Amino acid sequence: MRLLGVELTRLRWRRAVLVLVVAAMAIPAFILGAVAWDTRPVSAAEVAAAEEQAAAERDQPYIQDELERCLENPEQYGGFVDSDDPQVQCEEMILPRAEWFLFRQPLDVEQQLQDTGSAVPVLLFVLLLLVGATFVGADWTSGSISNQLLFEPRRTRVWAAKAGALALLAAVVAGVVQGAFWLGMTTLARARDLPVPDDVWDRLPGLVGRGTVLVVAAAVLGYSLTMLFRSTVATLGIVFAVAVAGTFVIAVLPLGGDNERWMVQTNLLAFVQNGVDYYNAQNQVTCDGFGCDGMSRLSLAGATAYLGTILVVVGALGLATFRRRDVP
Amino acid sequence: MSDLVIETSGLRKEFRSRRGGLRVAVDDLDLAVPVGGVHGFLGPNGSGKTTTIRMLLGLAGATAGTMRLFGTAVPAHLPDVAGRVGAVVESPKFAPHFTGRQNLSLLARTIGAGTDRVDAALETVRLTGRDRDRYKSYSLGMKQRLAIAATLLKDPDLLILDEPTNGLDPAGIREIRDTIRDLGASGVTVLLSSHILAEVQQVCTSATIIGNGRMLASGTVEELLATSGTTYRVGVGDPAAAQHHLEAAGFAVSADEHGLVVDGSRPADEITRTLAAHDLWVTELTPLRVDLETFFLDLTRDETLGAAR
Repeated sequence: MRLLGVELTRLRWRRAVLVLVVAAMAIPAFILGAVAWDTRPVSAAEVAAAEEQAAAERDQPYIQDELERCLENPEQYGGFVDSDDPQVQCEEMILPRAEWFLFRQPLDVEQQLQDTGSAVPVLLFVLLLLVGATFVGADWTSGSISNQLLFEPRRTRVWAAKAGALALLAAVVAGVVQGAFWLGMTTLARARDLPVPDDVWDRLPGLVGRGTVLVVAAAVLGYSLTMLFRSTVATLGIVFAVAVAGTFVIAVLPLGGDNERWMVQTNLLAFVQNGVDYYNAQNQVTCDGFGCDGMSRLSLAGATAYLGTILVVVGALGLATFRRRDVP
Repeated sequence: MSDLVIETSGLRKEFRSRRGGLRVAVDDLDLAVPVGGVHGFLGPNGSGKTTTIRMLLGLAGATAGTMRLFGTAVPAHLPDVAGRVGAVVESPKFAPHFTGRQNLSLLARTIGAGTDRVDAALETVRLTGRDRDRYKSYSLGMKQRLAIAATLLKDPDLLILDEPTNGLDPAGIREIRDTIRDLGASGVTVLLSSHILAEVQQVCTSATIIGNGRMLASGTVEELLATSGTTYRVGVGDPAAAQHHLEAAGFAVSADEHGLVVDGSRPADEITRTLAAHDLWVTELTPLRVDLETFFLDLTRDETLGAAR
């Protein structure tokens, strides 16, 4: 526990860590603000402007021409042949209305669970991975890790204390940020008299919990990679390579069309969203008038196995390397 | 209980290069450092001093051989004795953005030491006024002093100092030398690795000299210097005649601008008696002791730096 306290203090004193933690709080707050702005209620002035624009559009000759064509040949406009009153139907379809010029959708918390509900944990995943990498990367760059080992030569304990401190920090940051984010989102919905379905309350704890686990894993992964390669730059290079080149490599591997299942981002989404549907060329069963789409479902268990294997392998390699290799 | 603080037997360290080559940094080294006093650990650059120290401290693994600190096998039981060992290995290594106090505070907390120990260590190395400045703003001398302060946090029985006066100004060197001497006198065993041999001779009671990772000589400073023998500077009115008669009597003699230098393997009175027998009267007879630097340079003359084998 003493070592854990030391490492928590070291984390608190590291400037790069502080900057990243502030970013981890500020960016979701910005996202929440953007959602609030994009879904803000329509004002009376905006309605008036939209009605004015719709009226102006209605008077345009090409609109009137279109209306005439519809009245002459309603069958060409689909679904109006049997209509009792083509005049009404064609006007409804062709004449511009005010709502056509009001583009904003009201806040839908359930939809946000899918959208920002995935974006925030993935964002925290990236930032806390950087925290893990830079925290211990600084020890290697300065050489102070050797000084630490002169005071605590049990390397496994040192490794575990640093990993534990990072995991704690990541859990707190992920829990607090996601909690505040969804508190803000639901409060916003209530303030606008919009419904927050019971289903949202049922799904939120799982979403936040999985997000927190993912962010903790990211911090430990970034840390383990840096303990393995002893360089923050090397870790960032690998992460970048996996994020960019890895996608292309997996896309061209002979996996029988099921390539997307093995992409990191698919598994991240499946973990956060408790399973995800992804494109699978092997499984072309859903057909419509335009062709056939193959979809498969990646379960939470499948994503957990994939991500967990990466974490365990990298963590074990990082620990084994730290225990055995000479320290400069 | 062992009367040796440091003991190595058959210690060997190999490094493999990326091209597959093998370099032996330490080769069958038997090191024995007795309890108490200041022990010099000398050798040319690349001779294996720092590698040996790093192996003793668990920072590097040995390829073969055994090591003991206070009679305890290391690295297997290093945690049992780590609290008794303070060390500065090569250059000081601290977090550059932390203050000197923050760096020491983290190390102190690691071993359960309190703020009072940090204060005392900073006071000892005279860094109290700059303790809240960032480490990266320190001069090299201040960084060295902070590193020594870190070793004092443990209140160690063994202090391992690898080039502790690097970068220090003359006053700083003197301070560190006095500190080392005081620590040695207080019962702390000091293993001092240094290139400044005059300094080592002043503070060390014993020394080990290594070259190419192998032991070249070990013992008290007096014992080491005694093995080099003594020469005499001889002043006389007619140096050429004196050289002729001394050489005829079997002395090895050389001449320089100050007079004659005569081999001291035979008693000095034989020199005066030989010269007096030829009416040559001695005006100066001074024993010339070999210093540690000369001894070291003679001993390591043939050592190739960091030779690959």
